[in-house]
Amino acid sequence: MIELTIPPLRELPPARLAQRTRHLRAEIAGGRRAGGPSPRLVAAVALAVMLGVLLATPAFGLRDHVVHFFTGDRRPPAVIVKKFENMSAPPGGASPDVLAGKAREVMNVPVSGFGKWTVWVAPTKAGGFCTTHGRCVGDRSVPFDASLMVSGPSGEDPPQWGSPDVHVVFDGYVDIDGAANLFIRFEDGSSSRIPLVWVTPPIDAGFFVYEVPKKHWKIGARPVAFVVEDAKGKELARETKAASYFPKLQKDGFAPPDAADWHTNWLWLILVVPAVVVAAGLLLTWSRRRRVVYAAAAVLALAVGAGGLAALLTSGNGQAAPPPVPKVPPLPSALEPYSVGYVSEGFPGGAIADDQYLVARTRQDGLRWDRWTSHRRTPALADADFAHQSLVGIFLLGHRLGSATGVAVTGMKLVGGTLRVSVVISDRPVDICGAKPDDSKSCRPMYKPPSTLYHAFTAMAVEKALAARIHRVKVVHAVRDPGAIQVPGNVKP
Amino acid sequence: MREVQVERATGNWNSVAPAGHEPVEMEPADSVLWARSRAGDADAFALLFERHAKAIYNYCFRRIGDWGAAEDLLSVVFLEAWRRRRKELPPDKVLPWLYGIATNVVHNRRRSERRFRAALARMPAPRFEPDFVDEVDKRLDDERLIKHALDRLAELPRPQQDVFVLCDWSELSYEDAALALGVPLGTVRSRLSRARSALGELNPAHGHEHHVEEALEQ
Repeated sequence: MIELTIPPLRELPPARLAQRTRHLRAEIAGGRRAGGPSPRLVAAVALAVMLGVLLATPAFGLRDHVVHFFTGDRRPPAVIVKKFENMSAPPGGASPDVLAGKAREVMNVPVSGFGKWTVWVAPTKAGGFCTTHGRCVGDRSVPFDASLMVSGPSGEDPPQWGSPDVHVVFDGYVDIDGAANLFIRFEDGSSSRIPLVWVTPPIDAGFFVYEVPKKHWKIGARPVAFVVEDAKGKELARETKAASYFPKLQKDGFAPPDAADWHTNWLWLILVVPAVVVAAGLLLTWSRRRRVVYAAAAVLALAVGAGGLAALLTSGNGQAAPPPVPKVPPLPSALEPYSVGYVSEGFPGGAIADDQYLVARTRQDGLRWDRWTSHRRTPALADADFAHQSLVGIFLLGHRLGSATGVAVTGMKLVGGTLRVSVVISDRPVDICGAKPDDSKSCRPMYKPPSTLYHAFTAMAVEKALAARIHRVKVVHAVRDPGAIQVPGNVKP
Repeated sequence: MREVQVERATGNWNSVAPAGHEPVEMEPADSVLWARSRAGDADAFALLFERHAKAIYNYCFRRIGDWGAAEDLLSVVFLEAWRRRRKELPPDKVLPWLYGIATNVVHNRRRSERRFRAALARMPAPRFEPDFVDEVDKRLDDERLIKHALDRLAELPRPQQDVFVLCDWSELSYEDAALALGVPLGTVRSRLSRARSALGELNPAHGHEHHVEEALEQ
């Protein structure tokens, strides 16, 4: 038997019931909405909606546009890991804290005649990310970025100046919540829309690659803006700078105008020829008495002719002819041999994923492997196809430190097992001119000497079969350039 | 029809009905008042409040052991009922439904009070009432007593507590308790059975006792 005693019922204290009743009346008369949803209900509905959206996402086909970072089954191959590790190589690495082993494949875009355009992205310890295209985002201060790339007709060929047989590609990233699509506007008012490929945290950013179709290379139809939109088409960000590079490159002859655009419209001669004939006739039959009429008619004819001539000259869609490919200065006749050595290594993209190669040898420390010098630091060779080519590094001995900072190979010939090269030497770093799409005219140093131990060094890409036959390298022709050696960035060595 | 036979003791505590809701027919009926309330009639709702305030007030006290807080919870229960006034109720089931709201309000006391914090803040401060002084002592005793009972009750799972308090302390029928708690009738029976088994029989010398065996037989 258990006792469980409870107190009796009691009334509310005197007058309190009336007070509570009045209070209740006042409250309910205050217009409280009946049946309003409770916060818990609202939260539950919101949660259910979110869950539904997540579950329904595959049904809407959005899954293809999302790369789940932690569940993605694609792991980076060693060559990609190595490439990202290069980025973390000091000094001057694009991102010293990139987590190369955690790279994920974002997209694999087939480009006709080129192959597959694969984008890999790796997170950084600082919360940013790097892509295989060398783009690193550290503090995420730029929410949207696009850049222009012009590539050769295949993975093995660099782009040639003025060639229509190239690929014009914009790629970039978006770091804006809710971004879903990239909307591309063209000069002719048309547009195109591509989905962003979103990589889940820790990357948490969207990526895109857009190859500009040839019909949009023409003046009046080129890209003018990239607009980031959410799923409902609302504009989140806009970028016009990258698109503006394309006309500049076309003007400089680097990016391709469509071949059809280069055809001169000779119909404009219909204006030019008669105008010239009329003007000439007026001059030949000049009448002093009616000189005012003759002069006016001649001026009018010349004006029409000039207009026709201008139209004729600009009928190739206003494009100036592509400038000639810059040539390196001819070598002087005096030859001065140097003792040289060479190394040959594979590179990211090649069969041997190793970017370490010998960059210098001093009499003091012998051979030295320098792991942070890579093809990224030799932009002139960046277009080399390392699947089929090897990089041959050449260093010069016997030079005073700092006196041979810049070395450029201007010619080479394999005789027996000896690669005979011609070089230009300068005490300033080699300047690369015209390699970057957005800065085609100005020049910039290829690299900065990393230390006082850095001796004269240059590198060049040669066919693997050729490289296999090289047993020694000999500089047979060297000339000292008083200024910086200027190398066109897109010329094959 | 009640399904549990209650034998009321004649002890001091039980000089009044234990549950507070007399089976007395009142005019207008609850269902009529509720229908008017649903239509937005504040007077009808106020009448319901006055009619059932005592039952809910005591129920709240018996769940929390604090007369002052029970008074506030009483207001909260009816404010919540007004908020849910679109609810269509079976005839004569207003009070069980209010018990159900009170049960939820007691369980989610903090959240309920937060929801109606502004309304409670507008409640005028209670005035000093000289006649109430004698009552204070008794109420303090009540609180001490109910605290002991609640301590014992706390040994049960909460669903069993709810059924036990509604059926045994507030004398709701199984059917009404099922409506109040939103559970099937069989669930009420089983929970009450387990609660009574756990607590044992009440001492008939104190409070009101329930003959468990008899109830179970029925």
